[in-house]
Amino acid sequence: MLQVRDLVAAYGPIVALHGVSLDVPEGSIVAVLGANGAGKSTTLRAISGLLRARSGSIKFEGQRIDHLSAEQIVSLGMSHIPEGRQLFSELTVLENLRLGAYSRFAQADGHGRLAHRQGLSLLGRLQHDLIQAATGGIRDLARTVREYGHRRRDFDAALKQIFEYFPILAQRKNQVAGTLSGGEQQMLAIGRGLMARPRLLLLDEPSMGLAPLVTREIFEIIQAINRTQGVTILVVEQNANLALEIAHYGYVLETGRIALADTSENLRKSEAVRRSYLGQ
Amino acid sequence: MADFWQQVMAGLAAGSLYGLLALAVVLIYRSTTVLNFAQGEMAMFTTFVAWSILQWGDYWVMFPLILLIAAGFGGLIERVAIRPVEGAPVLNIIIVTLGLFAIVNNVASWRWAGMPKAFPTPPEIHVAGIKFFGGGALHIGPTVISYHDLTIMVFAVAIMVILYLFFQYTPLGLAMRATAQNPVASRLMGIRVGRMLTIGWALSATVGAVAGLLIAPIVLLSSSMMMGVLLYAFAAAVLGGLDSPVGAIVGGLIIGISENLVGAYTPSEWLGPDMKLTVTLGIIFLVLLVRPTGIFGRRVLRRV
Amino acid sequence: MRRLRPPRTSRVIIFVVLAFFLLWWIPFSHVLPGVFPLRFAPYRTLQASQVAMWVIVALGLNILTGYNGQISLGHGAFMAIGAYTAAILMVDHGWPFWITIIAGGVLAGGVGFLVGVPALRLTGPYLAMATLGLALATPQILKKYEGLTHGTQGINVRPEVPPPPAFIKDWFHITLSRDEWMYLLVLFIVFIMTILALNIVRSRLGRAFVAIRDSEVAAQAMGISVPRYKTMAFAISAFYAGVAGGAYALVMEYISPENFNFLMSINLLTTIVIGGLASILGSVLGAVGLVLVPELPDLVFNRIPGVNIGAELSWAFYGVVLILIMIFAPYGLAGLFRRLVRLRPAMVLRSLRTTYSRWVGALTSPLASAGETEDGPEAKSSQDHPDAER
Repeated sequence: MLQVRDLVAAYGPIVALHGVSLDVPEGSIVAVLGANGAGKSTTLRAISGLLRARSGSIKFEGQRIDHLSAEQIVSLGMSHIPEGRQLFSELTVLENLRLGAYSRFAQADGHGRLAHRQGLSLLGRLQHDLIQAATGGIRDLARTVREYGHRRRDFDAALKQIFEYFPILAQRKNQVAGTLSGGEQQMLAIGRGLMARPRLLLLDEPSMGLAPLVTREIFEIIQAINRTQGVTILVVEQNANLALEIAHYGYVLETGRIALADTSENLRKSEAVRRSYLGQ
Repeated sequence: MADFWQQVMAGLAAGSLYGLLALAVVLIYRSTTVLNFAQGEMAMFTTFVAWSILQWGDYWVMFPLILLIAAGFGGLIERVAIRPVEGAPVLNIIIVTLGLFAIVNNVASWRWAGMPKAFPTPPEIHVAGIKFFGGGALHIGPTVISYHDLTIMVFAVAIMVILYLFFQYTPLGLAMRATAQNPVASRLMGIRVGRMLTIGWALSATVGAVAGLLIAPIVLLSSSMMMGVLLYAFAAAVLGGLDSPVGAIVGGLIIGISENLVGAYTPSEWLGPDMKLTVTLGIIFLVLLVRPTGIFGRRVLRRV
Repeated sequence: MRRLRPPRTSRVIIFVVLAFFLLWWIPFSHVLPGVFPLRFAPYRTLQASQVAMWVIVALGLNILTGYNGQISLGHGAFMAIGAYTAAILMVDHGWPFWITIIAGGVLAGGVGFLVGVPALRLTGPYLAMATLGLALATPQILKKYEGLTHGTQGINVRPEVPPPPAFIKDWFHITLSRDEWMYLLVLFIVFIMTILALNIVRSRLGRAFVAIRDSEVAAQAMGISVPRYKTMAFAISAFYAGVAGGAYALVMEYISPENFNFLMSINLLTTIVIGGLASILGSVLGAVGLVLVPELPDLVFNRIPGVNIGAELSWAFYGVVLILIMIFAPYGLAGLFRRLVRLRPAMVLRSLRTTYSRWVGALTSPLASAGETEDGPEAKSSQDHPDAER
């Protein structure tokens, strides 16, 4: 589903990724491990479009996305739950979830439009962009009005599902997100990401700052999401133990390069991994 | 005593106008934490444009067109002048707005040179049986208030309410609030942050245009007509809390009233009408000491 | 109290002497006629004095806003205090000018401290607005209490302005015009204030200021008394403004309440942002810019055939320059200078072109999204950043 080849990314003069390649097969959970500063978050940011890559290619469902903006990538069916959650801390839980659903309906349009646009000539693209700019807003509005009922039902159904995974969120529906506990915030972040009905979920250090029990709970839910809904998951984690427990495949990043790539079983058995990352 | 209430009423009317411009300032501040020093000039420019096109048609017929032009103007400025420095420190963007102030002001006085022009007051209009603007006055208790002033106040409050509803209950409003709080997360939600900013500026310019249209008949249309008002608008916005549209209007009303009362009721030797502005600013300063983010402003909790 | 240790004394002395020579001797000396025939018109001399005066206040404001992060839109008020104190003491009480300038500075500094105390409660735009209020109130207050301030008619300082002292004529055989002598005086003050500023900035005091700017909480955790240093920053910057105000009175020879309106305060802030925040060089460049940019149309652009930026559009021209500098030099002119000095011209051109093309791209492509950076958040012009020069 996701193919990354020779990705090079930098922050100004500091090169963070020196040619990273990885594959995420559809329906699987892939873990990216590594120490602090290895470039794990950078990899996710480059994939989701927050950071523009210097070189290399990123293909999602066969389509190149490395020069697309983050907003466009979201509409293609990829959801990135960033490091530190990045919730809208002054908005309520419900509002956060609502925002998660923002791109839900853009997906179908976005994907089609993007593919259409890529096939056009330069002049054609300019024309396409101009028409989009002039009428896009109005057309989106019209579509929203037309499909209101259907979207409302869709949204409610999605909300119900999220509340099934995270019942505590239902309780705290109208609470301001900044006042939730760490674990609840992480749940909200994941829930918000799921509202976009992604086919690929990028999770950046979900365990960060959380107590072990809560972390375990969250990882179980992540596994459930993968199993029951078939959502492909790419998770970046420092907690190698937990990550390898739920992942099918794993990559180990060291200072911007892939050091190891294998099934999670083999990684768990490997001497190198055990010593460096599993504390054995 | 009647005089007192008369002063208060006059203050409310003037204050509504300050409040409207303050509302425009707050709109931009909320979405970008930028103080738009060019707000007044943008309103002034739109009003001049309105003056030109009002020759072609009825006031209320042209009104929506004027608002549309204002929106386009605001959006254009965001795209051309603000977008390139977006991401820069706030002070830089403020300097850009100061530059815009200079440019818009100069271009306006160059294009429409000459004596201050008379600008038509909004003509009487009946909507759903209620009379707006027009002559005549209403007697409320001991005071008399003209329909004109009354409508201005209603306009200000109505716009405030509409904006509140927009931000609170519509998806677009929610998206704009989200963008203001956390642009990175907003992008990950698929929100086109750039477009939100443009819309924010367009909205703000529209509100500013309404303020300009209402102020021009009073002070006569000239390129310097909004300069003083802008400062009052900033003061009102700060008083009410820079991220609160309600605060902007309330702040404006308070300033309007306090100005009038200070002018009328303080001893002339060491205060009096000459020091109206100073006393008003002093009051604002005192309020800020007690509520450092304005009356309705939200305390910002900062994480280390 | 902190020790004021001059930064590498010998370097400073060389710097001072060299700069003095360059800034005064060459343009204004008639000692070497024929070799240095530069003899500026009196008008230019006045402008040079003005630049020097703005440098002083810019230095102070930069300490407060650039290094300490407190935005002040009210420094015109402190300048007014300095100017009026000096003028009143000179004209009404016959004090010698150099004491009055110091007095003006000290008084302004005191008021600055008093302002700094309530300012502790306010941040960002609220502080900016509160100080703007100060700037707005100043002309009104000056006009109101005319018993002291001579009200709207202002104070004519000219009679009290000292003529060039006799010894210069006698010892060096140079005849200085009044303007040139004034320039020399102010230049001298600038040097002292600049050295003082350099000291402050490189000392513990300066580091405390920067620490507070970057994170008040962290600074507090490190044992820095935030209230103390923040008020000190206000006091110091107000002192500078007061001294500059005294210089203003001398240079302009006439002061009135309307001179110190809010436009002046806004200009001051513009000056340091354009020049470069948190940078001594920036303060200087900003002051030069403040005086020279209005001259640019006539000095440079109108000489290009076909170009005529009339006087009616000079204000708009100024605005355009302001915006362009903010787009292409986010760290100010000092940042640009740093970039030029560090990199080769080719690289400078390349980065300018990238900025330009990104701007054009943003204009023409409706799908262009805001907030996306080329190579990550810090890439843009991190090399311009003042801290990078250490």
